[in-house]
Amino acid sequence: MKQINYRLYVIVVGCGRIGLEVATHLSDTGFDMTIVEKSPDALSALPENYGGFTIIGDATERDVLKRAKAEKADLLIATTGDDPTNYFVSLIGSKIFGITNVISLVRSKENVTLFENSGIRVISPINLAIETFQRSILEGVEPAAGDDK
Amino acid sequence: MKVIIIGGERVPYFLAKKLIASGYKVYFVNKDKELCEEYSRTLNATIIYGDGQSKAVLDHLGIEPDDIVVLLTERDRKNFFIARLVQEYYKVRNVVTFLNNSENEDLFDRYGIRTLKVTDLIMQNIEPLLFENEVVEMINDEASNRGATVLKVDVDWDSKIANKALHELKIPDGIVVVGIVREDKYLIPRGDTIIKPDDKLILICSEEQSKAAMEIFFL
Repeated sequence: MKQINYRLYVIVVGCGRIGLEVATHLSDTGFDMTIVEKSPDALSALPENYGGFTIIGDATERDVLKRAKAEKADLLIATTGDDPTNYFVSLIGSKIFGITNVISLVRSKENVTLFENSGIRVISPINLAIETFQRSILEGVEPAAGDDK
Repeated sequence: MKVIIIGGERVPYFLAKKLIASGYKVYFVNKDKELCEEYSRTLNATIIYGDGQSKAVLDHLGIEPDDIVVLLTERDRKNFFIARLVQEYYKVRNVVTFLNNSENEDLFDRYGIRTLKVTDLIMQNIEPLLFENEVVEMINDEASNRGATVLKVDVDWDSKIANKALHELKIPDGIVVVGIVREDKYLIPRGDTIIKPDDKLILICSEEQSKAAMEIFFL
């Protein structure tokens, strides 16, 4: 894995399937990492070579994000399974702790606009799936005769 | 203009009743099916069974910018999310919400969401009681078994000491009134302080004088 030489501090909220992979990957890449998760059980699923910090707690509570040194974070990634929780954590991160880059998982397609309008970068699994399907379907389709694009 | 109440259990019922009596149109949204069935029988309001966090549900309500949205779900994050949905999609100007964790007030303020700080309200109410308790316990710790006792006197409307100034009671040596708890205040009494019904008096007296104290304050 390629190492990067500048230090960015990243907080990942939620250690579900996606949060876990993202955190592990980022820590492999060389980011300074903290993962915040409510359930100790979920944290035990982290691989042994995960090199970041872990905090057990509810990220919607201020003291938990303070313990994670949110005011020093360059990036916050919200990956819980609940859109209102992700939205709330994202905005506490950006508006209260002043984190400039906030990315959130958005489960329900209809919530994407609200997140985007609030200045949060959105990862929408369903939209990603749809786009990927479309792309792979379109790639397999021969351009119709006379269509020179 | 209509009032839309989302979430909650009994508060929405009484709230809705008052609003309906004053002639307002009330909508009630709740995830609890039984509650919705009950209210559809007892309230002259539009009852919607569904999750207020879902835009698809909110779309049914025909929300307009001058409607008032009252949020009573049990979590701050849910109330915040719904508040932002109705602001963003229907341009609602007035949103009021329960706030459990007062440290979240700054975020709600930033988006112009009015908050009712339930925890703070309860705290304000019990703080004087806690303080009164602490005072009594503190003095008791120092006084007990050393020849003095602490007494607490609840003043009723028909109490003989009500509406009298302390100096009128001719309190003898060995008895001191150290505090009067009145509503949310702790008063440091003086001779001209008037005792009022519903006051709580905290007094300390020597063991020899405790009988005299009982006669003055209780009989």
